[in-house]
Amino acid sequence: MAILEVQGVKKIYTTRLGGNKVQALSNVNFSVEEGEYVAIMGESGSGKTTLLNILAALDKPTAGSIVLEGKKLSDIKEAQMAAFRRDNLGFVFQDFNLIDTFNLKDNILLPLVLSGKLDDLDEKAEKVAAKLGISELLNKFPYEVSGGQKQRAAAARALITNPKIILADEPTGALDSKSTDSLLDIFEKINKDGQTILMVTHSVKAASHAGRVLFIKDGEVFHQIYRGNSNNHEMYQKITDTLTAITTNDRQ
Amino acid sequence: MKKGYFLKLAFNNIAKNRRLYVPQMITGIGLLSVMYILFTLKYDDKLSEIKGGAYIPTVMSIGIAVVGILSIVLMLYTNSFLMKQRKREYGLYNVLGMGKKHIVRIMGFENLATAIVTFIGGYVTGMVFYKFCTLIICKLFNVENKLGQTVVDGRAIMYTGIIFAGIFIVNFIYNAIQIGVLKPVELLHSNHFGEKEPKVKWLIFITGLVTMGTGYYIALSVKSPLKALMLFFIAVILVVLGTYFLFTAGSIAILKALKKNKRFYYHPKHMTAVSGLIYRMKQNAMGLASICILSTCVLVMISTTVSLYSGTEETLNSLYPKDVKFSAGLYMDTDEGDIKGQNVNINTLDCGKEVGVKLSQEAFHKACEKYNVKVTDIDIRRQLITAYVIEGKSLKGMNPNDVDYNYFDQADKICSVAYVTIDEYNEIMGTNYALGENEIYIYKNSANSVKLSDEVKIEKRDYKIVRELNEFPADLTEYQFATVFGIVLPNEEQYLEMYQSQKEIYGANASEIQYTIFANFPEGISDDTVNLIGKEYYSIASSLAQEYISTHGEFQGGYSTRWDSRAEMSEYMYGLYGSLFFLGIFLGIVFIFATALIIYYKQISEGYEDRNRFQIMTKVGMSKKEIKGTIRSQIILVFLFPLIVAGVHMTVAFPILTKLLHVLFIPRDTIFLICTICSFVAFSLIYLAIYSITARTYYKIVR
Repeated sequence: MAILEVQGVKKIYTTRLGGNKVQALSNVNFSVEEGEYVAIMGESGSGKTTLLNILAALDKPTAGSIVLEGKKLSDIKEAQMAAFRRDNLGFVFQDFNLIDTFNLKDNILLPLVLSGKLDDLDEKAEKVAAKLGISELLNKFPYEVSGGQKQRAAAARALITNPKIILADEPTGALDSKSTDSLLDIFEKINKDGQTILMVTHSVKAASHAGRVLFIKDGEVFHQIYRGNSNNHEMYQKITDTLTAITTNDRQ
Repeated sequence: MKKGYFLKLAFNNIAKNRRLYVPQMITGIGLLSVMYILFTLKYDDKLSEIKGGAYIPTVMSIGIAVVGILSIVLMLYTNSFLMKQRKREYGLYNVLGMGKKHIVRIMGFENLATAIVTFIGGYVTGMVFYKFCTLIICKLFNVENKLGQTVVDGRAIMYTGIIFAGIFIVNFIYNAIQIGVLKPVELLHSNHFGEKEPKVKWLIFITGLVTMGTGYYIALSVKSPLKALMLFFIAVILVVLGTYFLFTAGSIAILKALKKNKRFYYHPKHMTAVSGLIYRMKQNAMGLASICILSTCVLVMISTTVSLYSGTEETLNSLYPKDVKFSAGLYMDTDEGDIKGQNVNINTLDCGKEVGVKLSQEAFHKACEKYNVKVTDIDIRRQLITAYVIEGKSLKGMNPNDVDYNYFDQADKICSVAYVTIDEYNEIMGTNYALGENEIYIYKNSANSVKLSDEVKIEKRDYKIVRELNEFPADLTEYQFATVFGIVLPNEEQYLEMYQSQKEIYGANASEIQYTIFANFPEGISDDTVNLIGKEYYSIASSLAQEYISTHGEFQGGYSTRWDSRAEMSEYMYGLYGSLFFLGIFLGIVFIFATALIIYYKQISEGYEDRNRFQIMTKVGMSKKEIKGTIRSQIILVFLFPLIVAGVHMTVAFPILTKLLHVLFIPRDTIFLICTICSFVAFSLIYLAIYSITARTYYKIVR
């Protein structure tokens, strides 16, 4: 069963005075099955971030619908939206978005505290931290740890509520290659444990860890490839080929 | 590059940063106009010629000093705040290839433009409001407004100009230095991530507790007004220091303790607030402490000056039951002068009680006759006030050689005692009391905090106190801040006995019995006529006294005559208290303005800092409403804190301020209490209004 269904999503930005209209998404259709690890690729300006914002319910589509586990996002009232997002979605961002006045533990616990689930906080934090290998760092503040460690803390924060789906926006964008590898390993690991992940990226390496890669161009899903039985290296090759094909087509 | 280009750039910069520049200009205009008004009030000859106007220049000089200091502090503060916010912009210019010289030039133009606006705006505002201020002063002084149109005063313009030009030049130099040491690359890459969580500074915390505690202890424990006067400023300095220390260290200590309490901390509302506050306090403790101190200053100034002014009529009534007070007397030559260093009016018993009465009465009647004024309503009172040392239950005369002239230590031990007989008391107060042989009535003035039981021994006699009085028929004007007992004695013999015994102890320094005439003039007698009668009385009484001395060769000494009219005192009090009241309100407004400015800047800087946090929380799953809620409660807490502490300061300061006001003749403490409560309520309302207006700017930035 599809956990997330995106149908005919369209987004048009209008400038304040209504003069210029910019079409960010023209017609996006795809669905994500439970336990899937999907990467969305595309160049700058292709509409990736717009799509992710709409999926995260931070923005509203001009047309089309998004259904998360049978529930239409447009049916959720504004007042309940924050709670809905807190309970069902987990977020990992390029620039970590850790709150600098909290230590890592408090950052990780923030979604739980916000939803008022105040039981066994310490245990939960330790459990998820152990999974992500940051148990030693829980009492450190964001400025005291490296970028990779920050991103792992952010991933822990996304995981702690057991969300239906994790939305990751360019999670390796600000990391060096070593941290990137270890983060991608972690993503793979949690995906194997059954966590659904939707990642937006333009890093081929990051996408090569996913089970399926969607290519988005000019506001539409242009192409998709499945991993099948290929390993990461073969997947990398496939993605590169596809990207080359897309670029070459463009030139013609 | 052309000069015009820099000028244009400078104007553009000001326009784009108007959120920062407008408050700076308003501050400058406000302070400059206030300064101009104060200087003009000081130099306005016509104003100082009105009744009571003689006090205006002196009082305004105090105001000029206060506003001068405030101007320097505030103008430097706004400038450094502005510079901090704009450094990144200047850094960008530098990176884009503009030399530091050019940047300084642009900055110079910006400063010059601000200065010009401030000067023109300030002078114009000052001149417009000056007229208004003189109207208020005339109203406060109870005089008709017959002032001319003098609005422009050259000296005021010059002095104000010098002060503010100085401030602007200092600011320019500071800014130029800031640009000189600017490292643009660092600036462009710097962000505010990575600020360390503040540690609790225990030493400062403890120092704060000690200074604040000592200040509070002094304020609460001081008993006599004299001590209050001496210790007040020490207490103020201690409390100011304590406030700064505790705001910086104490707040963080409390917040850290809250954070350690997991059940409290992990709560949707508390978590973000507590950890946010820890950082907020690190940056804002000084600002908040300043707001707190300024608020307390406003409260003290307004409540004291308002109660002084509004109590004027009542004070006058208690000091001058009738229109005028005349006294005349002779005094003996002494080698050392008396204890208080003032001449004590005397009509010695040696010279005969009649002489004093005759002298005053005769002079008074002659003076009235000369101006064809018929006076029927006359009281003659005699007065004997002497000094004793309090030792347990007894009051004893002290040996002049043993007296320690350090009043600071003695203030609680020495008292002044005024005597009347029961017959005199009944006559003046219209009562019909009777006293037994060893019984007395006792009165304590407001400065008197000595506790006596039912029995008291005065010199050799044991007395039983049978009644405590609320009023005493003696002129205690000069003893307002001394510990005073008023004692009603059972008969004339004991009265004279008391006089004799202190005479034996103090000899030439002893107190003498003084006669004073209190009289009411018929209606329609002008103040000028009263003045003339007073002068006439003065000269007649003097010549009568001289005549007496010359005809009584055995008398060694001189004479003194004295007259006071209620009208004269009223002019003095309305003049002094009116000027103080005006200055209190005026400075109160200026201080409120300063508070508002600091709050505004705090909101802006907090807004820029919180914007990032705010966005993260939205992404992590907090609704706008929830975030607004937490941020609001956080900010309200931050801004209410200084107000609450100011309230506590004011409550603690109340007893010592009451004592201080006793020196200035405030007879009823209730007036002061009401004024204090009213000014606190009014100030809180204004404060909250300032807060909610500035909070809007904050939300605009954060959104």
